[in-house]
This record gives sequence, C-alpha cells and structure tokens, in this order.
Amino acid sequence: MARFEKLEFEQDDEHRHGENRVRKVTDAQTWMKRADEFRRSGAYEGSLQFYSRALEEDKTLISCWVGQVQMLIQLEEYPEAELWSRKALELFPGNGELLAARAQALCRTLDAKVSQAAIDQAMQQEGDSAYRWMVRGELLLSRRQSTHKHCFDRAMQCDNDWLTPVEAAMIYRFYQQPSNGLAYARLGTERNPTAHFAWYIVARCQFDLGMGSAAKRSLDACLDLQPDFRDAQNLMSSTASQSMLWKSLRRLWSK
Amino acid sequence: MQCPSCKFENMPSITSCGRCGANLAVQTMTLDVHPPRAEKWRKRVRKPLRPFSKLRAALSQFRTNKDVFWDIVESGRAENRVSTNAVLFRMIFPGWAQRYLGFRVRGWCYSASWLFCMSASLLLIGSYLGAMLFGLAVMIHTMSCVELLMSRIEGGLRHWLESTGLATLILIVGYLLLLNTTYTYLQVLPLRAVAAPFATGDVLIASRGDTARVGDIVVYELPRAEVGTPGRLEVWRGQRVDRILAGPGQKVSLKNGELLIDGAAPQIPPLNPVHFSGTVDVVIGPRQWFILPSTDTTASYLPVATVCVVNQSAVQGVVLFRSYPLTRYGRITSIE
Repeated sequence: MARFEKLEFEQDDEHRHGENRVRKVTDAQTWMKRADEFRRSGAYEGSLQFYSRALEEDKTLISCWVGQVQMLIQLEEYPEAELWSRKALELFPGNGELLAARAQALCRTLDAKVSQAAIDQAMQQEGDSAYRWMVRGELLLSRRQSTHKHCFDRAMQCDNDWLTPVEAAMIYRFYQQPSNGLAYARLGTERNPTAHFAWYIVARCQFDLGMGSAAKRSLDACLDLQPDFRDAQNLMSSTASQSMLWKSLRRLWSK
Repeated sequence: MQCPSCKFENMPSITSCGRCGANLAVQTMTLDVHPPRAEKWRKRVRKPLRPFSKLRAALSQFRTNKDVFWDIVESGRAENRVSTNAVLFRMIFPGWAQRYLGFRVRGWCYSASWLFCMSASLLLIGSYLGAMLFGLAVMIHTMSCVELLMSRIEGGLRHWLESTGLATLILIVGYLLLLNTTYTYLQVLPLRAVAAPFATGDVLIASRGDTARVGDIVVYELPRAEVGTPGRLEVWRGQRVDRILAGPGQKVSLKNGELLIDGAAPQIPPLNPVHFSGTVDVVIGPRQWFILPSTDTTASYLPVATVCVVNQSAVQGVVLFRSYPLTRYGRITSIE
C-alpha cells in the first residue's frame, strides 16, 4: 500500500551505515592492495603512503601498521621505524608481528640485546609467520651465528609467496653476504618467474659478487617484464660504465 | 566485539581486549597514522655515522666471491682446514692471515708493502723520511688486522677483545716495545752543526756502552769548559762525535798545531785536520781518553787543554756507521 511506502525503519539506517562501513573497509582494502603492489615493485615510499591511507580508513588494520614499520626499515629510517613500532605496540600490545617489526628496527639500529628480547617475545605469541622467522634469522645473521639459515628456511616453509625469499635475499645483501642472498633471490624467481623485482634482486646480488655478465642477463629479464623499472635501468648503465681496468683490479684483489 | 589483534570475542562496551590487552576503541580514537620521517640531510649523515659503515663500504668494494673471512672459518668452507687461533696468530705478520685464508693477492699486497716500508724505514732510520715510512708500515699492519677483525661482529667480551681499537693499541704497543728494545742497544744520532767529515742532517748509528779502543769514533760528552771573564763567559759542553787518538799511559803533545803521540805523528789521524791554537803536553791517565773535538764547528776556539782529555765514563757509545744520506752510507773515514 502506498501510505506504507514512505515509512522509515531503523533497519534502513543500519543498512545505510553498514553500506558506508563496507565502503570504507573496501577502500582500506584497496589501499592495502595498492600498498602491497608497490611493495612488490620495490617502491617503498609509495607503499608507505598507501599503508597510511589504509589506516586513515581503518585504524584496526594491524598488517598496515606492520607494513609501515617494514617500509620505514626498507627506506633506511631505522630510528623512526623503531619509534613507530613502539607506538603501534601501545595500541596493540603483545602482537607478534609488531614485536617482530620492532625487533628488526632495533637490529638495524644495532641494539642487539633489546632486539633479541623483542623477537623472543614475538616468537612466544600465538601463531607463526614467515616474518617472525625472517627477523629472527636477521638477528642471528647480524651476530654471525650460523643458525640464521635455519630461520630463513623456516620462513620459506611458512610462506610460499615469492616475496619472502626475495626479502631474505635483501637482508643478506644488507649484511654483505651476497652469495647467500643470491640463493634466496633465485628461489624467488623460481616461485614467480614473472616477478620483475625478484630478477632485479638477483641482478643486484650478482653485481655485488662481480658477476657482471650474469647480472646483465638478470637485468635483461627484469626489464623484459617491466621496461620502465628505473632502478634496473640505473644498475644496467652502471654495470656498463665500469671500466675494464677497475674490473680487472677488483678481480685481482678478489684472489 | 572482536579484537583486531588476536580475534578474541570481547563483550560490547569493553575498551581493551581481555586476552591481549589491545585497545578496542582504536577505530574511534583520534590518531596520527602517518609515521615520523627523517629529513634527507639526516639520512645522509646517519649512514657514515653507523659504526664502521664507511670502512665496511670501502671493504665491500674489494669483496670477493667468497664471503667474509670468519664465515670461511666458521662454516669450514675453506679449501684447507683453517682455525680461528691460526688466523689470530698469523696477524703477527701483515698479509699472512689473508694468504692463509686463501686471499693470495691481497695477502701479498699487504706483505710486500709492509716489507718495503719497514726495510726502507730501517735504511733511513733517524731521518724524517724514515720516520714517515715506519709510520706507514705500522698503518699497513694495522689495516691488515682491522680488515680481519672488522668482519667479525659478536657481542660480549670476545667482541671487546677483538675490537678494532684494542687491536690498534696492541700493535702500537708492540711496535713501541720493538723500538725500545732496539734503542736499548743502539743509538740513532741525527747531527746538527758539525764540521767535516760530517754534515748537518747526517744520521749515525752507534752502539751503547760498548768498550771503546784507540782509533774508534765515539759519541762522548765534552768536558765542560768556560772561557772568558765573569759576565762574558763562553761555555762549551754537550755531545760530540770524534775519534779516540790516544789511550791510558800514552804521552800526547800538541804545539803549534802539530800533534805528537809518544813522540811520533799519530798513526790514526783526527777526523778533521783543523788547526788547534792551544798547547797540550799530558800523559793520559787510567780511565781516560785523548779526543780532539775536530768535528766541532768552533774547534779552533776551544780550550784544548781542558776539553781534550775525556773520562772513559763520558763515552756513550761507539759509532758503527753513517746511515743517512744514502750517498754517503757506510763507515766514516778521516779527511786527508
């Protein structure tokens, strides 16, 4: 009947708010997705901004808080990463991922003891994640303890994503062990041969090891997948511009 | 209300999670979700201030296909068996430990450069160039040790013991002990204001406390002599280098510039045939030498009778040879 058509029920209001809420969450998810895409391309600045946008929509997304700390670490802003992880832990105390992120930031600021305490606390929390094992591996690697490989292998087992071995390779490169890093970077390309960033990290490890021609081939593979990847283009030009004399001297000094 | 952290279902209107303590009112809180950022200049400054980061970056330019030294030791991936104590022991000689770990070219570079600098500094001992080369040799040795120790990062007492600063200190103390031991037996005499056959800047190597004989060129303390009137006194004293011309029991006479020892011309002439104006007629007593200070630039003005007879205790050592300049390297002979 027509006279009942204009009646408003609370149900509709809830429906409308629910729709808004769903739209907001969707927006947050969209931003998170974009952040993840940027991260998988090595564009950490953009990824950080998208994580922040996602948190503006939904502050309860712990993975975004963790992502922010991880991006700050990748951007080499270690004290800021540690500060931010502490702030996030005030909101979500005892969260394993946030504790691991704090441990990684502390490890990079060379505070090994506190980092050890944080990662131990992270490992005691419920659940298991590749990231916690990677941070533990990084801490052991920084202390030159040989069990770091076991931790990185456990991380690979926890997560089949191609980004996990690539980030492990980046950790090895940070600690100037490109030969170990190369093994994990290659694993990343095996898991996803179409990931241009994985090929880029392989090329970086090969470049560090003085394997110029192999690095060029990896960069070619990267640029085939993503022709406008700036970092790969820069690395390609620096590989080409190294003089023969310098290369020979490096090879001689390597013996 | 579900906790976003641990997914625990809490009662409505609860503000913190009953299981993990997470704040359940986060969504409604006014929070800044943008993290603090470091300025570009701060990031630029931070990197070099990271402990040893610059040195590590420099070392990484020369990084080899193998990993850092201690990985080889600990992982046992070296071609031959290597051990930590063996590496530490081989740090005594620069480049030895690097060769032991398989880095032949690097090891030989360290060894060759150290040997060159060290031998050149010994050859030019007493001169400024010799001092600089010695410092360079110490620096090369320190670098070869630091390169090994730097690559090892471990906490605790072991790290402190193997730290770069302590290694440098030990090396410096070691070299100082070596120098001290050397100078216990040898003297290095850079000369100033001397006459022929010496020149300013000559460096002589002399023994310490050696038993001298007639004819030896010695370093001795000139007997103090004063000439003049009160208020216008000239004082002669200090270290001199010259030849012993006569010993205990010998009769020496010097008159009108003619020197006679036991009534005859001396078989071993003074280093410099300077004309002495004074007169000497003396028998050299026990524990005394007769030394004419002929290499003193003011020799002709010296009160010969006072300064020529020298107690044996004033002799500080026997000159072995001249080490600098290289064009006049070798034993010292008198001017004819």
